[in-house]
Amino acid sequence: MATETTNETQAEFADVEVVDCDVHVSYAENVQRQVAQRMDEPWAGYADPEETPARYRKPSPGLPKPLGGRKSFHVGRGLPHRQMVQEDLVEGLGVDYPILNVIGLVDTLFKTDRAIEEMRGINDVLVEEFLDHDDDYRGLLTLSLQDPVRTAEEIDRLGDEDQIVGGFVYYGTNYQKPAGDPSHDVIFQALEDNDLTPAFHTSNYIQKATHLRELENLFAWHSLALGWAVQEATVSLISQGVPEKFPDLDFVMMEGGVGWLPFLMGRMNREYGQWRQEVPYLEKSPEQYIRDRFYFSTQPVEEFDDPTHMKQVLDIIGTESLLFATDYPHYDFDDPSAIDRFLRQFPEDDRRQVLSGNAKEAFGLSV
Amino acid sequence: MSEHVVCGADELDDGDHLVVELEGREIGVFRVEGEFLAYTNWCAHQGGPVCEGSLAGTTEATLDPETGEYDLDWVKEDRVLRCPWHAWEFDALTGDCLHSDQYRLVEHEARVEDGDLVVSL
Repeated sequence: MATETTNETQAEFADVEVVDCDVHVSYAENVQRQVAQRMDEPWAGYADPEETPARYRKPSPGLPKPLGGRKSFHVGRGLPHRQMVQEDLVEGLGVDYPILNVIGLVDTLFKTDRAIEEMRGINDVLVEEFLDHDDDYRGLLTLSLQDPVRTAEEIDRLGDEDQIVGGFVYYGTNYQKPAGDPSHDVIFQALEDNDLTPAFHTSNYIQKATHLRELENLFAWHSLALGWAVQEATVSLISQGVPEKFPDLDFVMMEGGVGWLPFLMGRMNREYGQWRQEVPYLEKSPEQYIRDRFYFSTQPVEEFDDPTHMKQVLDIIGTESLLFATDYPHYDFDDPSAIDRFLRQFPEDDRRQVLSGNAKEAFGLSV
Repeated sequence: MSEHVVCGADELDDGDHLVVELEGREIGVFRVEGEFLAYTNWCAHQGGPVCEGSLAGTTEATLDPETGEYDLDWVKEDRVLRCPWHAWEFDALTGDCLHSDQYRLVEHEARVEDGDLVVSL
């Protein structure tokens, strides 16, 4: 990537701590191999790129390659991912604490046993190959929603790892019930017991929202898909009273952007007035649950023709609900300066909360 | 203040309500759990004719500590007024809006005098 730009960015953030809440360990073939080596048969062979061709390992999103020149950071570099994170994100963009997750697409697999086995392998790789190598890294455990009891066991297995700060659900795929489904309560209980925070990360190319896939092109699909999945998760969690059932949990929504939040708060408030008898366990307005118990990562930040409108949107949402995130290493990431041009219009303390303070609270980071 | 005889008190059974016009204003009168109440026929949400709605019950939730799941019970039968516009719920005994303490019904004094239901505006 353009080193000149990243060096400027690093200088801009030299005096301010930055936590990046959405850093992906690219699920490249070398990582898949590491995962497969930690899985038991018969499932290891299904996941191993040396044994099974890509088209049989996971459902394909059918994206054009190489995305018309859209080049993610890791493509063609041939470097270990740890080294890229260090060079690009820590030294390049000025991120102090990356919170890593792995998009292993486990809930796009229709074999539940394999999804659970691959989930375990992914989490072992995250801890052993990444977190154990750098004290400044934090990580989110990959969670499958396909078998909540075994996923709760996985949380208990690794929940006391120092650098594990939450659970990561790649949300909105075919083999998942809605986020707040009561069958997931065992997962939320395990997270609460282990002082971990649930994070629902949008899915995009492989979603159960088939009507979105019928849109004719990626411009249309990508316009809606990112926000759709996290909106569904937010609505489902509140509608099932999950924040009331688990009073010690906060909820993080990732890679859905934030511009739709004013709409959703007002929309849910209205539906609450009309349908309160369906959700009598709610103790306050949906807007208040969102403001009090939910955090939203900023990427991909919306881009209005008049940039002052974004400041107005953030005023409505409130900076206390926002977590800075890059989405590294994807081509559609946000450079820290993309959100900082708006944050600098807020008091300095509020700016710093978005860049690191809110993340420390949301994930209980001890840094 | 003006006083108006609306009807005989025995014309309303528990759970009954009717809307009358007093001084050009629409007023709903209710009998709920033996008490007589009167409210302006105007919903604070969007100005709907709230007193023309139905009186029914509603759901109440308790979290079962054994199962960790919510039990929903049907409660307040013949006491919860549901506005015909948008279905906002009000407790007809207290005037409270069930989902928000920012709103309530506009209440008027209602009493029984010599067998008549009298409303004061």
